Amino acid sequence: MIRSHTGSYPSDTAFHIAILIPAILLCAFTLIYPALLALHTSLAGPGGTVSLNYYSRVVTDKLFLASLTRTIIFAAIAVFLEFVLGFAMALLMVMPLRGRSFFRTSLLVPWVLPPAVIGLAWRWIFYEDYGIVNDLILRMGIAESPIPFLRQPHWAFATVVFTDMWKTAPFVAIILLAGLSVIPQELYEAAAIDGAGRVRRFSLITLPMLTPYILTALLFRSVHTLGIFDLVWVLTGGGPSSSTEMLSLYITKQTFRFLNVGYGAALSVTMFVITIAVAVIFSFLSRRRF
Amino acid sequence: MGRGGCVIAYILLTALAFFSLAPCLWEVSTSLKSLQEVMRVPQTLFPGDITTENYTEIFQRRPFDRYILNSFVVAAASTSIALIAGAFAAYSVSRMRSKWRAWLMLLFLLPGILPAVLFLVPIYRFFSSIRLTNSLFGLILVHAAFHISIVFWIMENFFERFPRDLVDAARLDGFSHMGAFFRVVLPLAAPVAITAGLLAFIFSWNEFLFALTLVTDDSLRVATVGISMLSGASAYEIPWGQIAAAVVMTSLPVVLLVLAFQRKIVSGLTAGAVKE
Repeated sequence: MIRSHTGSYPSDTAFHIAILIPAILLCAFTLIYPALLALHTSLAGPGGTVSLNYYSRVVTDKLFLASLTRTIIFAAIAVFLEFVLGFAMALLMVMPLRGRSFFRTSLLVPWVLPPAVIGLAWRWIFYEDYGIVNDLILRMGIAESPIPFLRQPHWAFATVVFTDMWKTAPFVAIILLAGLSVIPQELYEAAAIDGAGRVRRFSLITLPMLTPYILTALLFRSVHTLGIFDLVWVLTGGGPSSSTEMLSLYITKQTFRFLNVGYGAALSVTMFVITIAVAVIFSFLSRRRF
Repeated sequence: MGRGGCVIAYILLTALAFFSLAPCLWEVSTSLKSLQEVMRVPQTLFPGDITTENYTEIFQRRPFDRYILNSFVVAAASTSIALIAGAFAAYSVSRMRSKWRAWLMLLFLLPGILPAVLFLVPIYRFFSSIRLTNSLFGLILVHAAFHISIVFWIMENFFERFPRDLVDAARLDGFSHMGAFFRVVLPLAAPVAITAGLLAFIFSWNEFLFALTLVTDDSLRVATVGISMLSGASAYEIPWGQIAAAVVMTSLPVVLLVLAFQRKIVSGLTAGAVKE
């Protein structure tokens, strides 16, 4: 049958709807329906009524609020450090140097390894009794006694920040590298002819051209860092004395250790709202100014 | 750039490469040491007597081969499901010009942007009520649903720039919708699909949260969870040598994929970021 070349075929829409079905079914069954069910559970009151009991408990739960503050501080520090290191990596990787492929591959390795495995590797490196870092520190006489990297709360927090930075700086680097490689070289040449120095070229060309990529990287990293689980679980398990107990660890503790599924659901919904708020702020920023 | 700048860049890049690879090399070294040498202070940089006892230990005394097999099954199955469902959805949405488009994009992309832990309690609660916990199939479904995001992200971007005329020409030549999709569109999309599949496979292999909480039966554990159980295996000493051997075995597949496909992985990750 001959159909007109322009315009849609009659059955086009039917075909396009039909091929959407598998993905929608999969998402509906594993993500959307369970999410709605959990929302329902979190609103359940005594005798089948709707109640905000779980939520009033959330906002007065001192342990939850402490965990939230801790997670936000962690995310702020970690994302900042990842960003600085990742930016430096990207600026170095974009240079047309010999052996560039080797450096790119090496720098990508930390990001691609399983976080649980990375946690164990660094736990061994920072191990107090005969780990390599303390061994070197003692041998070089930097400290008198081993540093309690994972046993003392402040050190443990710092160690988790460091390990997360090590793992995710390459991700920031890859996103920024993509931005750096599409900046036209002529812009730099023109600016150089106009007498702009290295610093001015960076602040007048590189930074503004890179801003959308910077915001993309920061959005992804902030949202994911708020939900960090694997690395902390393996490295410290949330300890010592809850010093590294991030939101995700608090939720899993309430749900799986205290078997408080309804409260766990309310905590998840609360965390969902916070995460969406962060994401909306970032997309608002990127839309308004650029 | 002057010669001096070049030298400084090389020094910094070498330092960063060392910083990135040193923990991996240290694990390889530790995995080849004997139990006594692992605990010896000062630590030796290289194993004095190379031994494979840590490897035989995790494969013979523990079911690490089983864990690795489970990881492969889950990663391969969830990647395949996500590739099929995701490619279809991406093609459909890329051809859409209605108000549904934005909503569908949000539906498919959001799970990849949000932290997975947000869905943990919901999925755990629902899956335990329909007995899908403690099964590899349940884990495969969860992984596949999350992989849809990355597959959709990469492939929708590709299909949007795919020439419509090619499809129309194929239709005029008598291909059915399905025929045109499979014989004309998919072969040209194969390189992009491989990139998406690679990333999905790596994410699945690395996944820990759901594998830890949804599956409790030891014979159904995947490698990332099996390895985390090693540290609590002995009440007295943490078996660092065995853990190192397990770290090496679990990292090997993804490291090999990066060595082989560094370019593809980088291009896949930046597909969305480059999009204007």
